[in-house]
Amino acid sequence: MHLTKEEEKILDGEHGVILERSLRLLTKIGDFENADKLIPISKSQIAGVSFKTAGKPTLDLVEHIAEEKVRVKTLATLNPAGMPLDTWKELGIPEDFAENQLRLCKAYGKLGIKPWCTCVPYLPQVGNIPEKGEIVGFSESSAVVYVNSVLGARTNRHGGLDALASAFIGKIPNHGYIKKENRRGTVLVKVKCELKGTTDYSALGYFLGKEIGKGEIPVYEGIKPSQTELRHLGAGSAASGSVALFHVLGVTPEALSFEDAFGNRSFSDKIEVTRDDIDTIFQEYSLSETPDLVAMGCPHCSIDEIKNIAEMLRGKKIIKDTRFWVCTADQIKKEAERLGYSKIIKKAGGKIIPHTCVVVAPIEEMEIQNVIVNSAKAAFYVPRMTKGQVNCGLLSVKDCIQQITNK
Amino acid sequence: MQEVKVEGKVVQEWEGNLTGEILKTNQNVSFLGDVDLNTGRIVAKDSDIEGENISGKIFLFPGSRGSTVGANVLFGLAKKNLAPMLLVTKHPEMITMSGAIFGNIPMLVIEEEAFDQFKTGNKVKAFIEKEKGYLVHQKS
Repeated sequence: MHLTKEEEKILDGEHGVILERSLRLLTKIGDFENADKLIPISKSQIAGVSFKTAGKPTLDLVEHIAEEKVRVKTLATLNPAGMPLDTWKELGIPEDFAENQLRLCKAYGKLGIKPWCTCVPYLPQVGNIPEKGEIVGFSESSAVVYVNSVLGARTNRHGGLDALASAFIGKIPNHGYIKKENRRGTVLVKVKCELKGTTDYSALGYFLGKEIGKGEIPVYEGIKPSQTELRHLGAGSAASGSVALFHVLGVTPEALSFEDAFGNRSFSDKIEVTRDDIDTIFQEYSLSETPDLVAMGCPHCSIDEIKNIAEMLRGKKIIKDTRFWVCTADQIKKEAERLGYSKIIKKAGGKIIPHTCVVVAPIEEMEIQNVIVNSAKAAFYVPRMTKGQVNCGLLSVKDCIQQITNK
Repeated sequence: MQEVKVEGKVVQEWEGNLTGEILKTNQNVSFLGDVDLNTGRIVAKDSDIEGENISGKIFLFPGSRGSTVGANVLFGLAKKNLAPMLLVTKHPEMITMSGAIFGNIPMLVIEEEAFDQFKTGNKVKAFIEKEKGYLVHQKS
């Protein structure tokens, strides 16, 4: 890989040990991936923030880096934490967990990363928004797939630590999804049924992620999803199958035509999705018990989703002993307050919760055993992230609300 | 006695030579969850090396799986002086590469055929240069 004089100086340690290690990591990745050079980025998304997933090793590492006084060179935002950073007490988060979580967010903050704690940094209220064709360094699988597919920006699937390293250097190795020729579709997916609402799209993504191999780029035909539905479609397929980029014919920016989507790349066209396929995902995550918690917001809710939830909850009351969380970014929560949605949700007995979500909060330590979600990604992760201690069901928003409200 | 010498690509270099004993698994490792942070012991029930300790060993593993936080676990082990002496893998993934580099743990990538020549308990010498590294083992 070609290195500039300045990059060689960093590798020689002239700018300290953290930058040296960061650049060493990027050049090694570049060497193994046959990248020709490093290219500049100006935006990053950093995962590995919830103390539940990141744990003590991450706290040690980030505090260690903070002591070295290194700062990010990009606009860098943090993934969800394990709790709302201000109102954790009222949610029942254990005290020692909260203490570690606050320490970790503070340490990340010292590196110059915005502690906004959301997996949807690209939504307008939040403001870490990659442009079409822009090269960025994102981790968080659902954000990676959204900015690649829907915004037409370019990122590889980073982990927390290499996203951090690239934010320190302000560059990433030039390979993979950064290159146009690697972004054409590899599988045509014919959707042969009608889909209704976000959860159906989430289930479609989840189904497809399981069907296709590592590194495949699906091109969907026969659907017209909204922006919110596209987010759920991508998140589902990124959870079950590591999909980092998809196209929807006539909808997403790199697939306005068939030629656009596939170029000269050879592709398979054997996959057809029927209603039965979608239904198998709902059956995989069915729950007969009354839920202790119903959680929306995986990925974090947009303002449109919150509006929809508020409208369905208007004039209704959530049953006793069931908690109802609408998880979102703090900036979106504030907008929901301005627009009056918070009041309706609160009146019904629910809460809008910032900074965290059902997947990364320590729900297994909060007397929660049965959860219902509207996202296949959340349904996939909840049992896994709680070592099987919490059961999870999957329902549409409408069915969730119907099941837990009285008139 | 026959000498087996295997060449690999260096991920994290090391000044000077290393001599140690091999611990080998044929399963992909999730450093988060499979390894006890306070001891370096493999605690995964379904691991073929459950109960063994990776600390101070020349640790051969095919690849990694699971959470990217695994990288931070490697850093944590190194900070407590509980890291393997040398990491040797077939598949250089982001998780292990970033853990090795930030934890300053020497790491080599070797080919499938070379990987198959070693087993747990083998005494090995490692020579690690800037780009290339070698594992040498006397086979009896």
